[in-house]
Amino acid sequence: MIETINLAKQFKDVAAVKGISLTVQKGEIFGLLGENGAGKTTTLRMLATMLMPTSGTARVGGFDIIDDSEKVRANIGVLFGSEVGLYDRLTTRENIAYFGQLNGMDKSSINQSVEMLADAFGLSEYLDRKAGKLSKGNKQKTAFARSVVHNPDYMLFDEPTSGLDVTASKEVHVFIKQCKEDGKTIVLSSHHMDEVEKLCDRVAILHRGEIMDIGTIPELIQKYNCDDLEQVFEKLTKGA
Amino acid sequence: MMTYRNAMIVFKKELKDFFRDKRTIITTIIVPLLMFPLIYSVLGGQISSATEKLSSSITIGVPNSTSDETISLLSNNIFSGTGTTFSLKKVSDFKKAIDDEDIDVGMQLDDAKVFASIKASKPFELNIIYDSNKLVSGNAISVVQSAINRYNTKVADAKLKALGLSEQDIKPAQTNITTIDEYVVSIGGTATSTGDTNPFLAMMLPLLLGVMVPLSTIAAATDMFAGEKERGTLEPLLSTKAGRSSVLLGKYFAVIVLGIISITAYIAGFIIALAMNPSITSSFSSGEATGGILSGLSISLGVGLMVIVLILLLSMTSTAIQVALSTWSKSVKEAGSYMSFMSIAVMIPAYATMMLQPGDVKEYMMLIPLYNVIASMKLALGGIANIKLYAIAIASSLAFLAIILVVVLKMLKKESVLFRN
Repeated sequence: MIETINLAKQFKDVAAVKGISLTVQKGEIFGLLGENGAGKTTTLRMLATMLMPTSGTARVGGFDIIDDSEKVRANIGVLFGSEVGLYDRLTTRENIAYFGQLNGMDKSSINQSVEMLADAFGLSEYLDRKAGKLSKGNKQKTAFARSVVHNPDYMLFDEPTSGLDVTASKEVHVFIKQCKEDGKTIVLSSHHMDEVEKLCDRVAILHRGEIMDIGTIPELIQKYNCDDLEQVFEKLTKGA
Repeated sequence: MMTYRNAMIVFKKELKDFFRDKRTIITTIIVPLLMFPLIYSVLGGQISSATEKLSSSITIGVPNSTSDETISLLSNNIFSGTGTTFSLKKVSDFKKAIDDEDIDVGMQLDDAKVFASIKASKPFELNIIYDSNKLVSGNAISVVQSAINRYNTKVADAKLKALGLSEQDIKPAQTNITTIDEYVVSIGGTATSTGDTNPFLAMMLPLLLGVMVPLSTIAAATDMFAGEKERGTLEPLLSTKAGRSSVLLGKYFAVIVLGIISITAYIAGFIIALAMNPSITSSFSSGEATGGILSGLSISLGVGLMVIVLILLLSMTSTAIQVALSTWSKSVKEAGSYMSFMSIAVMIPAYATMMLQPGDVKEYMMLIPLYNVIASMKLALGGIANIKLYAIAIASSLAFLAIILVVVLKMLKKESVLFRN
């Protein structure tokens, strides 16, 4: 389970996240939906222990992100948004395997996991190609594979299909659904309504660092008397 | 154990990454290997040709009006039997003749007076004209003067002999020069110096290593954390199970290994350069070079080992500073700016110790980072076995190193540093 308790983050005079509280159950895909600057990435970075909350806290798998940050890191896989960073002089395989090694995997488990992920993301023919020579889409998929190579119980994905074409996005969606079936707990951020509708069991709509509402998509549609999630989103964020 | 394992993973990955970069191989191995041979083949070539010319023949210009008899007298009495062949050549314009390299130096003289004076062993004047901007002309002056001094001594000896006197009769006070170590040994004490001195290396090696060791790691250190930040790989890396200390140590030692490879290439290049141009070291020898082309580099095993330890310490200290700068920087460009400044700053301790004599090294100097290691090299190569000074230098360097690494570790945990951009 992942839970945040009044989690807040202040950057100088900007309140990026304003005391949000939410709970993500084991085996659930939870979506953070919001515009740019809503606080999605900052929330994920705090859950990944990369940023220290200004106040409040969060627990990932029972470990506090402030007091047990190393244990939190040992249980998560994170795909950070924005620019996808790979080691250009290492091959796709080496890039993925490096993170497997750093997460304590043995060689045979790494090989098995790399092959499985390459198959899932259509990267098999690029495994021995230098990352610097990959297309943007394949780089994004490699970064995705790298973040989950160690098969973590908790997965944090910031804009997982950003920069991917339709086919590649579909591969990622299939993989995320498979992870849910395997009992993984997933928090993803997105501003694509269709992606959130397809994948998420529940969503939190964030606006200017605050949670406007949380619920399943049918619940939210019904609650705000809308036709779809996009209308709910507009109603909650434009009226705020 | 976990820290060590993860540090090794990072270390191996970094080395793999470095050696797949052609620029790293060029700047780390190829350039250091070729730099000294190229510099010294030009410099050594000039020195050799000048030395060869001076030891074979020197042409002295005399005024056109000088008689053949005077020239013959000068040649036979002054400019002969010195090992160098002197030619006296009549010229009308000393400047043009030196410019055209027809002569090496000019010699103004009063023909009749010089002729008569040499015949009678009486005083006379020779006005030597040379061009200080020309290597051969500038050096020829001392050879010419030495020949004249030899003549003067010969005449003085003959005159003294005629009077039944020797040189000691007119120079009664005799001096013997003894080093302090020789003196201490003569009275039954123990010398400070081990005797393993090498004046050439004591002057050149600390200077070269003081500059080259820090420079050799700059490219790799710049990329270390600033490159990770710029590529967007730092966050994924720090979100793994591997702790920040493992990441830091793995990267740090990879850069040090690269620095050591680079320094080995520099030293190999330096040895090749000296092997190609032995005349460079012979000027530092008290006598003629007799031990083969690499005699100028001979040091004892103990001194060699001490120098290796000091190179390692220098590399570790300078790399730690570079790592700190790279960690603080938000981009490779920013790190590059700091490193440019550092590449100039490291020359200060290197040049500050250039003229420092091993015996002038004081205890407080051993507390100054970088300077203390370079000064210790001076001591080692100067044959000074002062354990206390070495111990202060090594201990203070290790303490400085530990402080820097702790600061870097703190920076890696500080989001204001990690997310400066």
